[in-house]
Amino acid sequence: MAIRNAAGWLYLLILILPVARDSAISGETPDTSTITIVPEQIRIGAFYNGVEVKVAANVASCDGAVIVLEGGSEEITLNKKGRVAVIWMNVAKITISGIPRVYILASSDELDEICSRDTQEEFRLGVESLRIPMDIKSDQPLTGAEFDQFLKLKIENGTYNTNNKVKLESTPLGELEVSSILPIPSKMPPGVYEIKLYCFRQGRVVEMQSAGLKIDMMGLPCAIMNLAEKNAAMYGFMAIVAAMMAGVIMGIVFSSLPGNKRRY
Amino acid sequence: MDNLHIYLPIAGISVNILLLLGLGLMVGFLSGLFGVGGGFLLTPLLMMIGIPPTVAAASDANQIVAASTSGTFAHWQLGNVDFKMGIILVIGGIIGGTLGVQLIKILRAAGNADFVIKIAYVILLGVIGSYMFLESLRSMRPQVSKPGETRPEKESWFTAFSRALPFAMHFDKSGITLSIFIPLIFGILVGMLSAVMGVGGGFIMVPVMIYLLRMPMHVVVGTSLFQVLFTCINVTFMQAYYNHTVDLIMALLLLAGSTTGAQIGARISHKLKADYLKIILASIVLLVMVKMAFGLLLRPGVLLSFGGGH
Repeated sequence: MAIRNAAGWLYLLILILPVARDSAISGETPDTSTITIVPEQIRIGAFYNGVEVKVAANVASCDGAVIVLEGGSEEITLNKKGRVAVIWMNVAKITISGIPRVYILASSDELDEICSRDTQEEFRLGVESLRIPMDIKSDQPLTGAEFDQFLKLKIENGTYNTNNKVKLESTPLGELEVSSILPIPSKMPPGVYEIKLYCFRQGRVVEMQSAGLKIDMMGLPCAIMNLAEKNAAMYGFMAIVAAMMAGVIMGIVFSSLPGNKRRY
Repeated sequence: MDNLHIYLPIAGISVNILLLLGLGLMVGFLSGLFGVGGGFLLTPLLMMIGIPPTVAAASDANQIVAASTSGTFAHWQLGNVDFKMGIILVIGGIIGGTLGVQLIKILRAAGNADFVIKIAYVILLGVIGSYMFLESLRSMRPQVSKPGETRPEKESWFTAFSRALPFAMHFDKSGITLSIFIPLIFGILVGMLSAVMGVGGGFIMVPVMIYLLRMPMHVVVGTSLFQVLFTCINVTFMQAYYNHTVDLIMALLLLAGSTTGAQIGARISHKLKADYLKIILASIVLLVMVKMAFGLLLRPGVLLSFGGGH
């Protein structure tokens, strides 16, 4: 009887374990809190210069929070520079895969103060955690410095960004409001991105919420992009005619100004 | 200033409108002043403000179409375009451009085409710039000669060589007689260099016309612009059709500045002494050469770069 009871408990434990892990992540009050993103959709118009997206959520309680915006996984080919004699030149091509195109992270504190390195790696928190899933291939032997150089390139480019600007504020209802403003660079291409909010208590993820952020083009940029891609010959012809017309018009304008003599 | 940004759909970033207008104005001014397309200056400047190299080169070619149309128009009105010479150069340029595209393919397959292009730039700009600079300094020095004495101009090896070639043709506007092969060969060479380096080629053709073809300075500028115009029409179409890298919005803003600048430059060029023009152009060519040489010699901040372009 005791054995049967023990087997029953074990069976129940196996069934419950994944649920328990999920509930540990999703927190004690998963139904009451939702992540809000303002704006939910970014439209790239003629005068678009990047935007700031406000991310906020009410949670039961936590002592640290991390908000991550990630783009799709991409494979990118880069030129690797090296010194040959006294000249710096491209010495190899490297292909990097398994990394997000865009990675913007905001945290309430330094990541090492919020959770352990293992947790950071498990939930892909911080640019350093991207080292593990990243796959580097090259026609030349790798030196080991490629990842750091890649990070430097992406940070300089503005598509990778980290900051400690997540605010944790108590609400009158006794909850905690987690909020941050994520800088969206104009270089971020149209697409659907995922924003994830992780709440921590004593180094453990106690709640995780996510929402999508859509970026699309509209108006003149959209029309130009469509023409350039779908009717390239017409686009090329149009670009030449527009340039020549502008040149001729400016020529006529300037030739009509006083002081312009004709000499044939 | 922040709300003066415009989104460039092909480049995929936003840039300050005044910055693009200013860059166009500056480069257009040089274009009108010296008869160069300005591609060798504008492409690196666009890359410096964050435009992807391939988009910078292609859109630059598009704006050069406008600047050189405007410049050619202005010089045509002033009677400064040798169309006969220009047409032969354009034919050579088209042949050379086609060969240059094949050369690029071979260089890319062999690896490090970028490096070959940069080294070619540094050597070419260094030689042309130094020669122009020294030549201008020499001609600016006061000539010491006795009154009434006329010194016969020494015939160069190149003049002697060109005289020996068949199919001599007289170019009325330039006042020179040359074998048709001379401008055709130079057109082919410049066309090849243009395709490899992604520029109009005016900065190469101007010194060639002045020092080798011995054309008068005022005709050189107009004729060079005429040749640059057709070279860049070809490049713009090819880039738009094959690579989708021509950003029309950026090109329109650049050309709004450059066409204005080209007109101002063309007017000022008539008021300046040819020797001063030559020495200023030589200095600009040498400055670009030094910048490119430093780019090859100094350790880059990041040892990786995005692929594509040059």
